[in-house]
Amino acid sequence: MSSSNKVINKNKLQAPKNLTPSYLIDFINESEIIFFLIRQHKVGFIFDFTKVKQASILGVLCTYKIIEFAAFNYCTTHGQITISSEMDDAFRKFGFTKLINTFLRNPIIEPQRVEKEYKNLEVSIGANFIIAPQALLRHDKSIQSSLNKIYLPKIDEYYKSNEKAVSMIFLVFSEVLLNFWEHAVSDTKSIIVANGNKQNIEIACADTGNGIIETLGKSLFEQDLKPEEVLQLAVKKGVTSKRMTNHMGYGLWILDEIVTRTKGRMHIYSQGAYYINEYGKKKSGSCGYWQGSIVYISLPLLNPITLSDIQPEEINNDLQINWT
Amino acid sequence: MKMVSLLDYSPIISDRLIGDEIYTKIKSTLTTGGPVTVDLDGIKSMATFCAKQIFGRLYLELGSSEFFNQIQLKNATDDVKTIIRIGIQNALEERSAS
Repeated sequence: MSSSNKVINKNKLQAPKNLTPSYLIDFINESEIIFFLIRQHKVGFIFDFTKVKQASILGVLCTYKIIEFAAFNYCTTHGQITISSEMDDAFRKFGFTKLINTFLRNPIIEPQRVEKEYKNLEVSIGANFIIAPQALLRHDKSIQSSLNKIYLPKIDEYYKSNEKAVSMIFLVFSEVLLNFWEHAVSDTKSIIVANGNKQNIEIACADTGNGIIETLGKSLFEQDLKPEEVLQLAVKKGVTSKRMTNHMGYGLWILDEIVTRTKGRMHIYSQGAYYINEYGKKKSGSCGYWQGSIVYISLPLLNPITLSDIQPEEINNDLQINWT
Repeated sequence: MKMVSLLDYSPIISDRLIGDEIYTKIKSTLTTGGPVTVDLDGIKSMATFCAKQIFGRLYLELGSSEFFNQIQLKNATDDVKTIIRIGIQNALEERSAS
């Protein structure tokens, strides 16, 4: 993590016009300053979202996480958060209004109030959309239970006319959730969000805990890799930070394969690096610092892909298993 | 034959703690007198980690013959079957490599 004076001396986070996947790097570049201000109590810092014209669910999620991080880590004091009407609409559309208001409207942050609003995140379903935010709170059994008993069944119900799409979506959820549960280590209040219609679904998850670079990078330290090279390796089959455990290093590889074969999109951002797979074209590089990880996946649902499609030739069908 | 239903864990198994719970449930049912039928009705997906954690471990502990004779897997979708095969296969490959 660089400690550029130019970054630290900034007194403002100016959100770009577009908080959409194609422009998220701009927001990450702009917001990295927050991660340099832990316990700095920077006076009069401005979070300026007045220029935002368009915000996707990914943009809303990352905006919320950066504001939450700043508050819980005493990055600013007497700061100011200003938002455009479009940003306000986006918070409302994606179900984040009450959560974001715990920070916008209260000078003193009450963790219990925030946690209460986490639990109040709801799935909303319309004629041609589903919007589903869900907090992942490790310590809260009711949240974990509601994930399987309420949240995922609603997604299942919405897409029930396309069973293979449901399998694909749930495979993505399985691997994303497992990764965030396992690699976040401490309870960093990850939020997973889904937004879609019958033709497409977006799934995104963000946390501000340990990032992929830190966890995987440690196991690859002898290779002296740049952060973006760590991310390139992270999506390869069999690469894991936890060898000789139940971790197989398949999670991100599966997601990358699904995205490639469906011509979808996947973005991963972690600790100054990004990996992007868009319609099968892959690139990686350096970007602003984000403490933790952001994983974003967008999948067309016309021709869904499941694990059976990805590696039929490598599965050992001679394994003696008693299926009935 | 004794039955272990995974319906309470549906529709996805994506948590290490849940994986431990399921493994323990199957293992303890076996030790009180197998064989056991594991009913995967309702399970639409599973993290590959959990497949290895549960079924890979059982396969290694029991061996291929005992695994086949003592554990029957029922109502698994094709995708869940693939995920379980991958979990078991990876567990075997890792043991061979170590």
